[in-house]
Amino acid sequence: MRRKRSHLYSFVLACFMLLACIQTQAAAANLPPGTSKAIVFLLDASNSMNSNDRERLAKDSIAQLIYSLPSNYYVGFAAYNTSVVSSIGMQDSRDREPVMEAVDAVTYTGYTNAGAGLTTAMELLDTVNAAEKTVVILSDGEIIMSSDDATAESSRQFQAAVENAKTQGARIHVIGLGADMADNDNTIFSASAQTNGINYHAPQSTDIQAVIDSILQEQLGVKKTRSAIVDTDGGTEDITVNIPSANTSRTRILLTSGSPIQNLKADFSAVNGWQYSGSRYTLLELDHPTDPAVHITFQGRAGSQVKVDVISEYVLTTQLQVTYTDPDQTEPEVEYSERVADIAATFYDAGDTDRQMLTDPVFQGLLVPVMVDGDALPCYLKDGTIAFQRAVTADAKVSIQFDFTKLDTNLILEQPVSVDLEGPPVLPEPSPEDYRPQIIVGSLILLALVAMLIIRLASRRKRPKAVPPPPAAAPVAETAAPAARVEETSRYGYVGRLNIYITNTLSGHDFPPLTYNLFRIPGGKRLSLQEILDSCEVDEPFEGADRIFFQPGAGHCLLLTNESDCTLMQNREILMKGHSYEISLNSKVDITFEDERSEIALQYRDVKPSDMRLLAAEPQ
Amino acid sequence: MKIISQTNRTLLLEEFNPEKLDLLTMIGDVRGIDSLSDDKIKEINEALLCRSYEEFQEKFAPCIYSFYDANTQTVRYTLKKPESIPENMLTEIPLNQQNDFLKMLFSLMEAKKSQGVLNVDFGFEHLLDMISPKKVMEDIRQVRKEIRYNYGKYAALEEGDPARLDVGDKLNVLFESASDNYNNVLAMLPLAIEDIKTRLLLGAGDQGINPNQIALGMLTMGDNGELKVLEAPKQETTALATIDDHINTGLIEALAEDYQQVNECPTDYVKDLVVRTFCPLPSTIQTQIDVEREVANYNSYLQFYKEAKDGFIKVVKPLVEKMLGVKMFFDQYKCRVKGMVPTLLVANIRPEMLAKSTNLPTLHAYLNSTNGKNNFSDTVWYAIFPNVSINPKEGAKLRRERFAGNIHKQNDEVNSMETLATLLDVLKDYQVETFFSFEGRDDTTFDNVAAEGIQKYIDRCEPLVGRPYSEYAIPCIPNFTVIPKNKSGVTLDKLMTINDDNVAQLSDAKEDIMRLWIEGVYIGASYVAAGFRAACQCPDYLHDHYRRKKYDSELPGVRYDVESGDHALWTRTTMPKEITGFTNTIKDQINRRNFGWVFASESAALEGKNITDITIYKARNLLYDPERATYEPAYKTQVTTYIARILRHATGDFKEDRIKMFFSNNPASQKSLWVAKQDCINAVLDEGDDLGYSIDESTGMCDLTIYFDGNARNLEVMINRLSSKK
Repeated sequence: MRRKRSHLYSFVLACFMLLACIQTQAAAANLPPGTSKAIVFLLDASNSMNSNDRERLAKDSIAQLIYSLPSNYYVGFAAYNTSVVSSIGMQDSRDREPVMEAVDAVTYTGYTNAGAGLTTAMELLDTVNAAEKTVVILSDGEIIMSSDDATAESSRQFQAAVENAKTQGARIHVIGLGADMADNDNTIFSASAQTNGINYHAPQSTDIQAVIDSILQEQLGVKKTRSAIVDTDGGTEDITVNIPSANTSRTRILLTSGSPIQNLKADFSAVNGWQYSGSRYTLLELDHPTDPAVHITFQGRAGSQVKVDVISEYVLTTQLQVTYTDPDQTEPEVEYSERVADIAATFYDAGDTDRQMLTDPVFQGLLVPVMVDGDALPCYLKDGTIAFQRAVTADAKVSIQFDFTKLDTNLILEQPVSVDLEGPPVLPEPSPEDYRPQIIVGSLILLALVAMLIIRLASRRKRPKAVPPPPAAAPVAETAAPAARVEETSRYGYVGRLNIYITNTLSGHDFPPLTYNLFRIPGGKRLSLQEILDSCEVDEPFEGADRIFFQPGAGHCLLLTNESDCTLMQNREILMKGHSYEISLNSKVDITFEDERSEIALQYRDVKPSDMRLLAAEPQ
Repeated sequence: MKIISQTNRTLLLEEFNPEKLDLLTMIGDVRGIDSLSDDKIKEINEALLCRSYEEFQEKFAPCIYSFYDANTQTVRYTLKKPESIPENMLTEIPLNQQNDFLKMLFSLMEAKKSQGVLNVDFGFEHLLDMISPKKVMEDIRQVRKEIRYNYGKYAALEEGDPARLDVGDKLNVLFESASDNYNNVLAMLPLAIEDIKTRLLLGAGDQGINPNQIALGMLTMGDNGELKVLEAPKQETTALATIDDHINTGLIEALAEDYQQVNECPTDYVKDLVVRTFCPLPSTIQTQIDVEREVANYNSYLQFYKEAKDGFIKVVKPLVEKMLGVKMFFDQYKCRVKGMVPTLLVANIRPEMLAKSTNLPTLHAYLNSTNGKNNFSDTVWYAIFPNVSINPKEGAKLRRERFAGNIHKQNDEVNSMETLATLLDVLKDYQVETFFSFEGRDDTTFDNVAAEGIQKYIDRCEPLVGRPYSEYAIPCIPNFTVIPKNKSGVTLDKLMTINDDNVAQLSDAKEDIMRLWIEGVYIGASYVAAGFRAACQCPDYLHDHYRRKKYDSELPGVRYDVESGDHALWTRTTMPKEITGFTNTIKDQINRRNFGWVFASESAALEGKNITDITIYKARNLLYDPERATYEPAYKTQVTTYIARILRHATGDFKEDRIKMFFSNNPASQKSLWVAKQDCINAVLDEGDDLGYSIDESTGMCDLTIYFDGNARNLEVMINRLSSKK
């Protein structure tokens, strides 16, 4: 049953002919600079291809490649036999049809002049400025010309073109078709070895489709989702394809089969839509689809199989928002080097900067590693935002790169992005005034404070010491103000382990060395030292342990927050109360507790992946 | 430039002399610090680092303390200086090459090595009597001869003659040596025993004359300095028919005076004894002999001497065994050109003390300073942890003692498995491979392994398998036997009796034979294993043993696999063979899982020569590979550590671009340099080995894979991305 759509446009497409494209112009997205990529498909159109590709399946596979590519690809095509017989380039995503027309026009005849072909392919690549350049060669045999000299000349030309590709950083992937290409040791295949490309062998032309699929996903990193596999019985098939995520900039639905696909009709809601069909494929391209459900009917040959793939893409711009957290400036011992920048990245549609993207629940909580000036941070998408912290000591410009490979969609956005971070505020220079009155007053206050402290200490020693309450009842919320910025859960995960050496106790008991495997703690849960000691079954009071907290930090660090009156020392420096410190791997913190006798040395150490498996099996 | 100049510094986790400095004391307080200063490391090296046994002896001066207990009328010994006893009541007995017990053990080992015979054929008793009074007297006879010769020269020279002063100096040295004996009553006992024997048993002994026919005699010195017994004067005569002269009178006076000066409570009896023992000339001194009293004295001296010696040996044996271990550690390095000499850092502290929670941060700080830097001159590569308890504490089986059996007392001196596990956990963080061996007893020897196999060791090591530190733990078996328990009896002498004719004679009764039992002396296998492995690190050592093979003078022998080919025959320990070998069943048991660092006393020949030394049969650690059901060879761990350290150094702490250069095919890359030396005996990458790496850009991790003849070993390092190019 056909459904009515009330959104922007509603299209009902019917396909009966090979090329039944309603609209030939794809709406050009405003692609961010620096995201362009370029690919040239180089086809061997020599006479021998007649026997290896009788059904002209190579053309369908090329179409499948060309139409599956995201919008940031420039596409070119060249075919060669005795010389270059076809060449077209480099078309952006709006003009891919002429490329397919050129492909269709190719006939298989003549010798194999791969040298001239690859030279042309490289010339085509030279015409565009792209961050990533690729050549895919489909050939069924070695370079062969009418004479030995001509063959040698073509080989030389081929090698020169390969050298050129190497220089430009272009990669060449080779698809060897037929029995002659079963052996890797030939000139054509050598091109991939020299340019970090990959060799594929397709024994028959029906295998080319699978190879193209593999190149798309493994080499070009195009994200596809297989939506359905339909076994056709010759009648009309009726399927509903769901686009995995909403608000995509563009979605391509590709139907491929070993047999012709006919009479395709589609019902969808989108800003615009196009259809491209070959004998064994049909592509439906939707611009800003507004409904994730697309209803499709088609006819396939009885006994064949139709695969339905969805390729969705987002064209995004990144907006970064920075807020700063400074330590309390009223405290005299404040260290301004501890300013923390909270950076939040949100993503908007490149064509409509008011429209926030990646907010779909399907993206919620997905891992997006972020590289900040070379430091890898494991971050997660939350409500379309990626947030992380960065310590700032001075004005700085940092470069940020997001790794979206864990997402099952194609994202086109400018990378890396940079942001200017402001350093911590500078203390005002003291004015050269006469400070003597202040010094006198200050000294008096200091004396009074010292006297109070002595009285307090004297009275405190007389009081019996109380055993700290269990961690569940520990009044974390009542702790000092500076710690309020430390969240209950961190966005980082724990790594490593804590070696705990109890070096002195009130009771005088000896404790064996203890180990607490932090890496086994899920998420970024905030832990108090008391909780850790409790789980190690230490039944000795350590005053203040319930106010020393740990959280995972960036770069495998451990964030230690001291809200107690314990004395914490690291590298001969005292870690101040109310402050958080990054404890790097393999470093040590010594703690003297509030009773001024109990002491613990904590060592934060790395755990090898192999050891993790061993330790994971043990009780904590 | 050689990045790593040594790969064989060894940390010995044992205590030798509590009065000397130890590792913990020297490191001091480490609160708030991660590592120690260079000055501190230098100071520790000066105090605790040894390059030879002699240096060890000098730095740690192992000794034992003795004092007398009036209640029991016995002499007591202790290894730890008793704090409640005043200094003047305490005697410190240094355990050096002059000590008769240690000297006897060294001689015994040398003799056994040179004879190359098995324990079963070796005549232990010939060497064990080196601690009997008779042998002590032989040594004194030599000193006495020199005194007489020099005093003769001294008396002959005119006063003021410079030559006389030179002789005087020599005499001072000799008197000092003699006074070592008469200063100490216990040291005088063997002299007194021999003196009484000589005086009472006139004509007996060597000539085989019936002791019943002896007459009372008197001890004097012969012309050549030897003791002589002259027939005692009759009651009515007071003179002895010997020629007197002024030289012996002078010497007698000198000795008597020296004794009076040196000793705080001089007695006439001992004074006479000293004079009789050391006077080198025929003497005019006459001594009246009370046979009954002398025989009683002799018997009590001998009894006391036996008890004292017995007590001494019981107390000193564990310390001496450790000292022998140290000697054997250094002895393994027999090399013509000394290159990378093995060095031993003696912690001089009991391991259980080091393994306390309070002290582990201190050990961490030290190891972090030596092993956590890109300077490898002080890096500790191995540790020795000897004397691990072989029997876990088990419920005592109650059974009626019908005959006197072995007393199964809890040995407090042994180290527990828990202590070992605690220290291994620390040492593995610094990639220190730990050789450990079990307590020295007759059931941890070659004999025992040959009879019972190695299952008990496998069971005992079970808690250490499958742990993060397993690959750093190397169990060494079996221990070496210096004196077997069943051949450790020493006959000191026989008691004396008086017959009906008032004649003294030696008793033939079985119960009157004064015999003491040393009860076996053993050397921990870990000392020898570590010493051997440390020696194999030296390129010159390997070159010495493989003259026909290529070697590289710079590369350490980290990849040297002693199990491979006939390596075990080319490079052997210096320990002599002990038994005829293990049975095939036992060897099958060892080979089934390839357990441990196992020494073998097998019959083998190399280039037509019989091998009389103990060889290495297996060299494995406790890292178990479940896929191949085998323990991993120990060398792999060190190669991995070595490569990781070189990689860290060469790549400026794992900079990505430099890692790529390190592994590249560029002829100047480190990998290429190692590959080019694959045919050397001390190659880091042997034939069939390879190095590979992969970098995971998203996590910033570099996976390093080392292929040992096809078997992969992985190492993960975090890339430093703060390269200036980025």
